[in-house]
Amino acid sequence: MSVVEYIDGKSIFHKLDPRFKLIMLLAITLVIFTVRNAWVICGMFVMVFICWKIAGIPIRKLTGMLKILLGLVSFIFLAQALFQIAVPGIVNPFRPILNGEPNLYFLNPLIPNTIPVIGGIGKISVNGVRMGFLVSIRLLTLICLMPLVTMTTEINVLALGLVKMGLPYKAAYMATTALNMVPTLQAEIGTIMDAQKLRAFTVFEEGNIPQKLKAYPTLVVPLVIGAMKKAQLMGVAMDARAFGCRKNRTYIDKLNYGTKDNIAFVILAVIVVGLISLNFIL
Amino acid sequence: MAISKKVKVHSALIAVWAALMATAGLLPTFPVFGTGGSFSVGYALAPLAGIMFGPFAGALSVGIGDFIGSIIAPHSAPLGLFTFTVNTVNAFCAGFICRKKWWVPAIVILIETAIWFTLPQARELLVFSLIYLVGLIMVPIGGIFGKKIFGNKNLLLKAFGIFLMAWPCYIAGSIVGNIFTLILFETPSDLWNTFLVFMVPFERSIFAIGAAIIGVPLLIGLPKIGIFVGPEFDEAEVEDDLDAKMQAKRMNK
Repeated sequence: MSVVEYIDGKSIFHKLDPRFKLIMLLAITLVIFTVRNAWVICGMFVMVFICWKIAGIPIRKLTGMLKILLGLVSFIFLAQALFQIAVPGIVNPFRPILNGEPNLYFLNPLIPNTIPVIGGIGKISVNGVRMGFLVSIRLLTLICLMPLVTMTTEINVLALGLVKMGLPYKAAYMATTALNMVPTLQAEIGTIMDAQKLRAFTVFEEGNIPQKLKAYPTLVVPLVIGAMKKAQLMGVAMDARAFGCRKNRTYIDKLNYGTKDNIAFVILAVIVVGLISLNFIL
Repeated sequence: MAISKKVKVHSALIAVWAALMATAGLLPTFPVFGTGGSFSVGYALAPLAGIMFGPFAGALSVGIGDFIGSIIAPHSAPLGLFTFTVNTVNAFCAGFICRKKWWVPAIVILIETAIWFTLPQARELLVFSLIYLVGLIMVPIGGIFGKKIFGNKNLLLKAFGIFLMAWPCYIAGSIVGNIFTLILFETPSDLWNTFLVFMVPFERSIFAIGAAIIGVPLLIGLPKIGIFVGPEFDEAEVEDDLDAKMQAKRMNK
């Protein structure tokens, strides 16, 4: 059982080399961190959404993630709306600064600069709402990017890709072992919590924060100690097989960085350069 | 004759700790006021990895674990690919601070603060940046007094020692997170200087208390089941058995 959901398919994303996909992930992440233009950010979100469709990842996965993210996005949006400096008039959301001055979309005396929040806890500014929207879209783009790689690549292939990119084999082995251990630990957490519930220990369901904090060792300590015992056994098994004694390893799976990856690389480079250029031009 | 040898952390231990870090998000959490975040055991396990396995093995296990966590649940990684850096720096610093090398975390905080001030908006956040100064002051306190108290037999004092060592490491980790947050979310200056300036140290204190509460029973319990991890076991004493004699002979040669 794997905890990382791999969606089988024959899309171009499934066929690409994992090394290219990792480079793509890094490059697009850096672009998200770099760009400030609203058009570019919105364009990137649409692009990632289209890539999801091309990769054949069900959109319900996206909606599921959005539901979980709702709290964080709401907080970020509100923080921006309440704390962002109010600018007189409404700023052009897609080109906020022009010649070093706020680029006012239109000046309408009927639209107030800020709207007081009921209860007097602050004022929502139009500029803040604009920033809140942009930052939320940026966060969603960033989060939607990762599944594009992890859901279209088998984890062993991804680990092999990392090794071929220079990650020491031991580190890649640790990562795959850790991934394989997660379901076992999940089951163990369930067992410990069930055992606690059987003894009428319901602090995690009904207790307050100090009680929960105090009760954590009763859950974490048996879990960690059990896991460490497993690690000991695993260590003995690894040593018995002389793990890591040979520097040059062989692999069952072979990676082929072919023409399609080269073409994809060129397209990626064009997209990255294009997005960064657009950020400055628009 | 007993000889001393440097203990190397086994890959299996690092892998399992990484799995624990990745699973930590599945354990019950409770919300931490204001920031939209919540306390997860993963925050408590990060400095403990540094304390138990040392700065490099600890950082590796936490880095792998957090990276896997962001693969399993991308929604739990608001900084995307870079989310793992926060706890990795934390574990790295904790590994040094409890091994009498507190100057390393101090240098880490100084470098991070220098990077922080290269951001134009960060220069407006002088009030908020005072937290980093407090973190820097806490490093020698944690490294000298915290380490001393940590060696105590009294459990409460031991926990306080862990708290003192972990707190500046959380600040070191949070600086990395703040740098990425400022770039990515362009959080307004007023929010940093009026709200987050109180929330960040408060949150880190809660995390450090969590680390202390979980760390004490672990550091006592693990050696009892034959897993000798922690600063006191770095230089293991090998008993006067045949292996040790042969090893000593080899070393003499």
